[in-house]
Parts: sequence; structure tokens; C-alpha cells
Amino acid sequence: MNIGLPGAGIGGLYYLTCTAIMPFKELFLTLTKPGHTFRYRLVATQLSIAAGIVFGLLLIYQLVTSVFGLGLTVADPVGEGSALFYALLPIVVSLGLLILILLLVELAAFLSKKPK
Amino acid sequence: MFGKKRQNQPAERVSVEAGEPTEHLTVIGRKVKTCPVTVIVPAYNEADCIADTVNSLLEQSLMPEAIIVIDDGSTDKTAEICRSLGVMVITPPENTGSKAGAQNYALSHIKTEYTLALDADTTLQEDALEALYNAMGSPDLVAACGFVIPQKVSTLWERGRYVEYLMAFTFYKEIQEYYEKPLISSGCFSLFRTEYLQQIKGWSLRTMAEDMDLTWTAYQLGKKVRFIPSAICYPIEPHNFHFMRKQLTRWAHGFIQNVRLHRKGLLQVPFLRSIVTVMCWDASIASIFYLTALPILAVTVSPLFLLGYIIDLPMVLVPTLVKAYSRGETWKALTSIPAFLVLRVVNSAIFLEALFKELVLKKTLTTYEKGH
Repeated sequence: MNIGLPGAGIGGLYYLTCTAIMPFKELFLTLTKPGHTFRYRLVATQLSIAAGIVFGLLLIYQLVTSVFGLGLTVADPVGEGSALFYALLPIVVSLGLLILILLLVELAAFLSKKPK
Repeated sequence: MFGKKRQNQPAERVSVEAGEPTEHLTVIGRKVKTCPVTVIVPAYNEADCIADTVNSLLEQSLMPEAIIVIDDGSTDKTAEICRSLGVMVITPPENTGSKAGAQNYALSHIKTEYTLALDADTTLQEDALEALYNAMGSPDLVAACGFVIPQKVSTLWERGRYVEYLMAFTFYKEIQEYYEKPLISSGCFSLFRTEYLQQIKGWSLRTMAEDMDLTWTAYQLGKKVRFIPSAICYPIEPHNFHFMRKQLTRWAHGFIQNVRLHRKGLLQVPFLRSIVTVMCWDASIASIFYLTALPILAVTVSPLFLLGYIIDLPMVLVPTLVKAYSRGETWKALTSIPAFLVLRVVNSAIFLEALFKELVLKKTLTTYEKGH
């Protein structure tokens, strides 16, 4: 059951972030939890998928830039540094939004905890 | 309880060591193991597909101890077909009105440690039950679900659903499993600890998504749920817009109802609270942007804003193709991608409609309608 917009929105970014954390979590569990073995296959598979997605998004960005000329160039009046800034802006905004939402939900969880 | 298979041959049982499946059963010349599982199959007018479902159960590498079909007031030959295949058929005094109602009716008939809930239109891969059963180790683990792939992939709606499932079960669900919080133990195919079902008095009728309700209740009780990707099931998905709309409407209302019902409890469940919050955001705010802002910008500023509908394609394409390739279905998946994009627009529109009805008009959906 997928609700609303599967594959779009900040949900995708959230799952990519979760995947990026997986190897570190796995390493932590391996070092701290007796008997835990690093799940290489699972982590490698998910990381490969995530890497493929990121590569695909970069490819699409390149295509859009070259086919439609939408990319900001160094000739842009705002300058070279700003061009990079604008290129990264959608990702930064989405990531910022995701972090804000997650922080708010963690705050709500903290506030709703019943005192012992 | 199911003494015969299609060929009506007798079964021979042989006990094995504890911790393993409890018995062996010889069916049609092959020796198969059995496990303490009762399969319950709620059915309402499923004559067209019930035989395939039951036969797939009878062909499992690990056989359940019992198969019970709940004939929920069918007017076709559902019951006769099931009886001819040698499975037990029970009939409530009157139509229960929902899948959950029919499942609850069967609950008192279950004597085994585990219960497998299976939709009447869902067939199983030969080792699906064995994969789920083998995963049920820890006493805290109360439910396990498998990988869902549409049985028929022909119409636009079936193709859209095919891509949606390949993507979600290959990427999202695997991550949910890694963080030990699968969002839902799918209603079409899940194995439960019977004791847990009895503890929570079966499938609740308070929402339109009883599987989600049951899963989230488990987490709040400190129980565990698992997703086992090697356990594959094949349901029949809605083949036209009429049935797809019904199913998506039920799912959207069910999700909203569950969020409202469990909102306080959800906050105490790490990871799950994050997934649900992100889903709520995407399904509501992102959907509004997707359905209104993008077309408006495309008309008023530049048609290039329509690229917004496909710009995230790798998010869908990569996990879908990874799974499709491993199944030898790359071409089928590639040609089904456009159908998914259509389904996604419809899905988001239906969610917004459901949100408006539930929260603004206060019109809660209470009538269960089949999605096919």
C-alpha cells in the first residue's frame, strides 16, 4: 500500500538518507553487539540501488541541462559560484525540509512522552 | 483438515525433531513437511480465482496444517470449488461486510500456533509459506509479510501497480525491514502468531486498512513485524479505473483513519513515526504541489516545468529495474513505467479527495468495497 506520491517528494530523499546510514549502523552493531555479523549483501544491494538513483538523477540533470539549456552557466550574471549554488538549491531545500520535518516529529515525540 | 489434493491421494505424516516443521506429509508421491499454521482465506464471489489460490497452497514446500476458506455469503460457486479441492469451508450466518469481519469469524476455528491470512485472489510461490514460517523465531515477532507482485500485468492499471510494487518492495520495504519497522504487514499475505491475533481480538473494523491498524498496534505493544522478501505472493490487482479508484480510495481513507487513530502511539515508535510523517507530507503537501503548482507554472511560466513529472524518474526506475532484471522481466518493467506515472497522479488526486472528506467534511469511509 503506497499512499499519495510513491517515488516522489521528500520520501525518496528520506529513504536515500536511511540507506546512507546503513553501513555505519551495521559497523556500530558489529562492534558493539556480540554475535552480530555485518550484513554485507543487504547493505551492498541497498547502497548500489541508492547509488544508481543518485547517478540517474545526475544524468537527468545533465540531460535537462544539455537538451533544454536550463543549466546555469559561468556566463550567468550571478557568477560561477552562484551557478553551483542554484544547481544545488533544490537538493538543499528538500534536504532542509526533510531535516526540519524530522526534527519536528522528534520534538513532538519528546514532548508527548509520559513522565515516569 | 485438507485430506486430499487435486488427485485425492491420501497423505502420510511423519514426525520430525522439535524446532523444525512438526510433521511430514506425503502428497501425490512427494514428501512434504507440515508446520503448525492454519491458512484462512476470506472469500466473497471468488469462483474465478479461488481454485488457483487453494492449489498454490496445496503445492507449498511446507504445508499448513489446515486451510479454511470463509465463504462470506458468496452467490457463485466459491464454496463448491473449495470443497472439491478438499479444504474446509465455513460460512458466517450472514455476510460480514468486510474482509476483516470474515477473518475474525474464522479466528475461533484456529487451533494452530500460527495463522496465515491470505486473500482469495492471491497465489503463492511454492516456498512462500516456508520462508515466512522460518522467519518466525523470536516470541516478540508477531507478524511477517512477503514480497507482493501482481499476478496479471496487462492493463494500464495493472502495469502501474506492477512498477509500484517492484519499486516499493525492492527499495522502501527492504529499508523498513532493516530498521525493523515494516510499515504494513500486507493484508493479502501475512503470517501471524495466533496468540497475538487473539490478544488484540482479531482484525479491527475501526479503519478501512485493517492490516495497517494491526501492524501499528503491534509496534505500540512492543512487538515485532518482519518483511521477508523471499516469500513471494501474486495477488490480482484492479484491472480498470473503476476498481482501482475503489481500492485507492479505501487505502487513502484507511491511512488517514489510522494516522488519526494511532497518532499518539506512533510518536513513541522510532523510525515508524518518521516514515509516517514523511508519507503524510508527501501525500498531502507534495501532492498539492504536484497536481496544482506544476501545471500552473507550466502554463504561466514555461512548459518546461512539466519536466517536474519525470525528473525523479531514477527513483522509480532503478529499484524497479534491479528487481525486474533478476526476474527476467526488464522489458515488461520498462514498458510499464508510463503506466506508473499515470497511476501516481491518480493516486495523489484520490488521496487529496480522501483527506478533504475525512478532515474537512468529516465524512469517514465506513463501507468496505472490494478492489477487483
